[in-house]
Amino acid sequence: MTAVAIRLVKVVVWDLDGTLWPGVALESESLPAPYPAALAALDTLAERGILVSVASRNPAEMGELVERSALAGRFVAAQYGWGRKVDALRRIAAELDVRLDALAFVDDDPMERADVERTLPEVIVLAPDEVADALSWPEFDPGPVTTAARSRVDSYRQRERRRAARSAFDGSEEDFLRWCELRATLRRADAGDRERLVELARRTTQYNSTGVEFPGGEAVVLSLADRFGDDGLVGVAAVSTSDGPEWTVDLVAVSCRAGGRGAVPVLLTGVARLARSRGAGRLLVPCRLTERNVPVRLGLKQAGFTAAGRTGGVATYALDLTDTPTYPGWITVTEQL
Amino acid sequence: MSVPGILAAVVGDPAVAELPRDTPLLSGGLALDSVTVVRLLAEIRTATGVDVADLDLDLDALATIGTLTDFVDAHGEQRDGGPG
Repeated sequence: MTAVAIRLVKVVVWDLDGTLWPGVALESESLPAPYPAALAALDTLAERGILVSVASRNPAEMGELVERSALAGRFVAAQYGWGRKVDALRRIAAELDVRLDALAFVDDDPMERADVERTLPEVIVLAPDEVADALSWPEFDPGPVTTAARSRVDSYRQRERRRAARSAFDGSEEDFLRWCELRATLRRADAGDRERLVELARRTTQYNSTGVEFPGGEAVVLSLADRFGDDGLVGVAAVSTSDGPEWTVDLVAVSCRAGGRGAVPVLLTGVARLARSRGAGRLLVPCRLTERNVPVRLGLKQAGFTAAGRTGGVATYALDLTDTPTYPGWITVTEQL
Repeated sequence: MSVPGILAAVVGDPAVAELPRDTPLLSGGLALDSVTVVRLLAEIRTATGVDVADLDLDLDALATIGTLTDFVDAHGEQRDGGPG
C-alpha cells in the first residue's frame, strides 16, 4: 500500500485584470479578449477536472459581464469586491468545501501574491507567466481523468443550487435531505469502475480513511442522486478480507460533495450488511489519525463504529454485526450487492 | 484563547462565543460543515497544543461546545504539568 504524498490542486483561482486579460476591464468599452495562454490554461484545467474560480477587485456587475461573455459557465464560486484576496480565497474554499491547500492562486500583482503567500502559505501562488510550467507539476496532475471528473463543474453548480435551497429551507438537516429526495445506489465495483476509483482515492482527503491508492479487489461503490441532479459514482469502500468472521475495509474514499450529505455512513452500512449476510461478526475500518480526515471519522461514528485500538498514527474502528445495521431514514437506498 | 473564543473566530461570528455549553457543534446545533470542523481543530491545536484529532479516537469531544472545551482544558493542563 503506497501512501499518496502529493497534494492535488482542485481549484485554480484567477485574478482578472492584467492576469486573465490585458488592462482594466472597467476602463474598456467591452471585456478585453483573454490572453491566449490563459485561455489555453483554462482549457487544460477543465480537461483535468480542476475547477477554476475568480478573485477580482471589481464590482459584482463584472461577474455578470463575465457570465455573458465567451467565458460564461467557466468559473465557480467567483468572488468580486474590494476586500483582501486572502478572504476571497477563504470564501472560495468554504463554498466549494475544499481545504486551502487544494487552491492555487494566479495574480499579476506582486503585492497581492505576497499577501496571499504570507497569510495563506498552504496556497500555491503563481504569477501568470508561471502557469504553463506549473501545469506540468504533479500537484496539477490528477492522474486518469474520467467523465465524472470532467462534469465536475456541472456538479458544483448543482451544489450551489442545493446550498441556496438549504439556506431558504426552514427545518433540520435531515428534513432538508428528505426534501431533496436523496437516493443512493450501492453495488459491487466492476472492472469498468477502476479508473474512476483510482481517481476518487487520489482526490479525496477529508473523507478518506487511509490515503492509499485504490487497491483493487473487492469493493462496494456508492452513487448518489437527488432532486438537483445525479452525482454518479461518489464513494468506494475497498475490502481486503472478505471471508471469515472479520472483514477489513482498507480504503474508504468519498467525494467531498457527497460526504457532506451523509454518504459515509450509508456506504459503510451497506458494507456492514453485506459482510453480515456472508457470515461476518465484525467489520473493521483502519483509519489514519490526521486532522484533515476527521470528517470520515465522524461518518464512521454516525454509522455506529467505535475505536477498537490504535497502532501509531492509525486507529481501527469496529462495528459489531450481531444486529443487522439499518440505513438512516432520510435516504432511499437501492442495494445491488 | 478559550475554545468558545476560537470557535467564534473560526465561524466569524463573535456571538457564538456566548452560546450555551450544551449547544451541539454538528447536527441539531451549529451544524458546522466538514471544512470548518477541520479548521477549528487546527486552530485549537495551534492555540493550545491539544491535538483533539489525535487524542480523541471516537471524537466524542465534538458533541457540544462544553464537551470540546472540557476536553481541551483537561489535556492542556496535563501538558502544562508534564516535563518540558
